[in-house]
Amino acid sequence: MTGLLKKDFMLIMKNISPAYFLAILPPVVVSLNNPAYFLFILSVTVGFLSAAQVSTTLDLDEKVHWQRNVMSMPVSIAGIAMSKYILTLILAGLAGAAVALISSIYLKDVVVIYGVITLLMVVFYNAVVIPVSYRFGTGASRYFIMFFISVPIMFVYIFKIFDIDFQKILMSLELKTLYLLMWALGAASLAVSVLITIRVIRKCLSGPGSRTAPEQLKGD
Amino acid sequence: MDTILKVTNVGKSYRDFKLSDMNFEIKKGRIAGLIGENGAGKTTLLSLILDQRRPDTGNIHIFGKNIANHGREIKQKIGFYNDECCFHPCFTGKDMDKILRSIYKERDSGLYREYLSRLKVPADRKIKDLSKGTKNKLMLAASMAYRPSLLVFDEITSGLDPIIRSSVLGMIKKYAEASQATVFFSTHITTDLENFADEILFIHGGKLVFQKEIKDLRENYVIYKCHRDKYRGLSKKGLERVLFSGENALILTSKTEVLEEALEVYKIPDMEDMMHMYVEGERCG
Repeated sequence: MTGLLKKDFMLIMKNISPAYFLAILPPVVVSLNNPAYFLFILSVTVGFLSAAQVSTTLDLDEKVHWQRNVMSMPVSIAGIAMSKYILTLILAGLAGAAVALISSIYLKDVVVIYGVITLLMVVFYNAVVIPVSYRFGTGASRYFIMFFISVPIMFVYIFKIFDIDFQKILMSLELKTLYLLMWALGAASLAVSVLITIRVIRKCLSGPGSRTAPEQLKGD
Repeated sequence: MDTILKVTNVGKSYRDFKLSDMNFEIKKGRIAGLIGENGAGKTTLLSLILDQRRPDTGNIHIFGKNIANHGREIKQKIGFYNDECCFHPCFTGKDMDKILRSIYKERDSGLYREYLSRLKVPADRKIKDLSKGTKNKLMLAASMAYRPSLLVFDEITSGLDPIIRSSVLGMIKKYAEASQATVFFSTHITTDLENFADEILFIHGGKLVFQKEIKDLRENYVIYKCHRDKYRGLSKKGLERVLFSGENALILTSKTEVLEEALEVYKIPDMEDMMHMYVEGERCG
């Protein structure tokens, strides 16, 4: 698994694109005009850019049929799957820490909430993208992400229909409870995602299908 | 001699293809070539041996252990190549070493650098900037640098010019002889088999047609020729395959078979002829 992590970090470093800096420009412009939202925008932008690095490694793996070949290396299926999740957690931690530091400097106080939002964003994003990419390919995972983004919007309508004041509920919770809830949701989504990914990889190994197997294991 | 690779009743079904009844063994130190036409099942079989797919039926034992249950342990000693470079184009040979060092316990970076030097592969150049032949040599060096006991190669000489092919095969043979390693490789280039392998496995339509010694094929077979009407009247005892070509019948048989009737010797078959007889011909009788 260490070798796979090394491989992914090397891939990320070698594929950092100037396009990322262009992607930061619009949020920076919006922040300058709306300083009140600066930290929120920072949190979401850094979160999204960090989360996308895992997709980048999956996409690059797919192009060289890496998953097919790694099956022949002395790495377990769990190890293959876990390497992507550990990468997710490392990137989430780094992104969260960076945002927490910037927000603490900006607010001149120790504030971690934005860092936690960033971290959880990376976790939730990849909890969806990783198993979907293994099953359907990285191209299809982009459609799942579009659906994933629309889920919070659907919740807004559901809350409206049932006249639920979500903000009031959140504000009524103690900060400790809120953090606990967020961590629990993050951990649960990761755990479910890991199990699904391992199952998908095992199924691809032994399933019939056609010789053109799911994208990540294509190669015959 | 120890059996290094044992395939027992292995089968794998896909929607559009079926590999079935694969039974064979490869002994230690042997160089076995797998040949067959496109779509015969060579890559499927090798992917099963390399645990990239699991068979629907049967077992694959390597070094005396079932690869399904002892995969991680067994794969430490298997060097492989899957008809293309599996590393990302942005990596260099040096990057590959950093990654593989953490995966293979017995990886020897010094040996890897030595192979790269012998094969004239630049370690600092990105894979995307290497020619096909140089990529193949890079993968070969990477797969031998942890001293594997079994080398499994899928079309390692495909797309290479004769000089590089000879150099790649020579390197594999030298390694195999020096370390008593076993080699199992697939190819559609029959001359590679004839010059390099000890034995041949011929696969056709998802089935293993025969497993024979190269020496046996070279020295003990003959193709006779006669008119197809004459063939119909012949006793089929001892005759293996027949291929009808216009009015003629080409008959493959062992040289040791004493035919009831004298027939014109057409030629001593090479590997290509054997493939034609088995793919396009039919069983006698």
